Amino acid sequence: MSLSKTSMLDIIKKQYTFKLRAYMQVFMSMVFIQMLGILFSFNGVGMSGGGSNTLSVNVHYYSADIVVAFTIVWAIISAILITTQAYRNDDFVFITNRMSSNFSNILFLLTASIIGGITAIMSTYVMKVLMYVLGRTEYLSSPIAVPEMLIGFGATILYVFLGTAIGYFIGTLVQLNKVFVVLVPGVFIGMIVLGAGSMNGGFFQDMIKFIFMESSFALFFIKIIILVILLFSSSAMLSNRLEVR
Amino acid sequence: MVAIIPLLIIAIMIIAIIRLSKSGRKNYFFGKRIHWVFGGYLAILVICAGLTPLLPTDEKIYKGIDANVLDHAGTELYEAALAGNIDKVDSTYIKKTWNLDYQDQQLAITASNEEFIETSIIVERKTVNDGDIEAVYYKSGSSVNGMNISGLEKPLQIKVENNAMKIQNPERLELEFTQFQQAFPINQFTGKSGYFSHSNSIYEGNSVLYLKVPKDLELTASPELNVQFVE
Repeated sequence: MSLSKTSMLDIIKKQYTFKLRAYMQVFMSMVFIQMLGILFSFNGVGMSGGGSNTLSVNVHYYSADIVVAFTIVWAIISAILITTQAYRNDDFVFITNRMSSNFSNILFLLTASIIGGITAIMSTYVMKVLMYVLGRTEYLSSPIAVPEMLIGFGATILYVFLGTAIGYFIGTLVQLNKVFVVLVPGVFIGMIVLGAGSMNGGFFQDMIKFIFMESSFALFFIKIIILVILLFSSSAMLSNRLEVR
Repeated sequence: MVAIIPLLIIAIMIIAIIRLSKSGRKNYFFGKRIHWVFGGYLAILVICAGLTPLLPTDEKIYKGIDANVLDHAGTELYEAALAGNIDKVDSTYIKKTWNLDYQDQQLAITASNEEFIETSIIVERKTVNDGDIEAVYYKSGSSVNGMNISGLEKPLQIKVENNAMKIQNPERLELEFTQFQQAFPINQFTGKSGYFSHSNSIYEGNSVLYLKVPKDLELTASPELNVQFVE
């Protein structure tokens, strides 16, 4: 029996602020990965040409696509990392249970997603300035409207957050049983291969369409939130089956 | 071999992320450096975002234009020329004019090098025999990916010798562009272009070579040329 009573919310808050400091190195890898993305993007993400008898056009495309994709990969790996034993044990410094631990992790991952999503979209500016500095100025300007920019931030944050949810789920599975280290990549590759042969696409292609082809932001938002809730709640339920420490 | 490269990159990324994420855990001195690196990166992003609108927008950045508008204008040019209303056409379409002194009674219009000439040739007979052929080359606007490149195009070439008018296509215009696209999470909702796929929309304007010839000049044209008389 303890004299001081602490509420669940207080514990989560304390753990969250602790994790923001302790997991700072996650952002170190984000900076690295985004700079790598900018470097790779620098050669252009694509090229296409066309024309007629009298006109020939070649267009080199630049965009933050690679940076965003890299950031999603970073999100998955970072989420897996914080489910590992060493990170999990950090929580026992505080009065804790699985629930507060999971909640503070999710809050931390949400924070990381917001930072990752915003920096990924903003990397476009770095590319533009670099292009100018290096004298490749013959570019077609496409000014970014503010609402488009906001949608970009929102959608990228959601993508990254979905990445963390997937990573967290995989990480929790692996903590439960090491056999998933082999099973998860196996199932993943299996899904791609199984879908590849059939004309109307397999489960994997359907999932890609379900998320990446959604053209309404509201629907996209709902889909991602539902997926994220499903993934995190199943991770939380699975983690309840872990041994104590 | 090439297929392995993306896998290698991903493998290196994963190792780097794990390495970087673990290296700071036990070392609190390292924590300070993370703040510097992260803060520095954020500062660069913010500075670049602030600088981007200030980048000089010289003439190399083309004006945006709707291809539908151009298409409409192109049709109008052709129809106006065919109806003999060429004077009412926007004078910016005039790319070149020739005044050719020609006293003979016959003229054959041919394509030099037997190449395909896309330009429509529209002929108007004057009311007099003044021994003068007026030729005007019109071209309506063109665009690449919604940006106006009309000013860059070169005119048709005409040569008159031995009772023949030889027409040659304009010099081929070669353009290289660099285009910034929004990242896919934005394009997904604005409906522009797909994932890592890029297609150009090139619209080339209509061109018309308008000839005003003396009243009784006998014209013959090679069959591959698109020659019409004003209605």
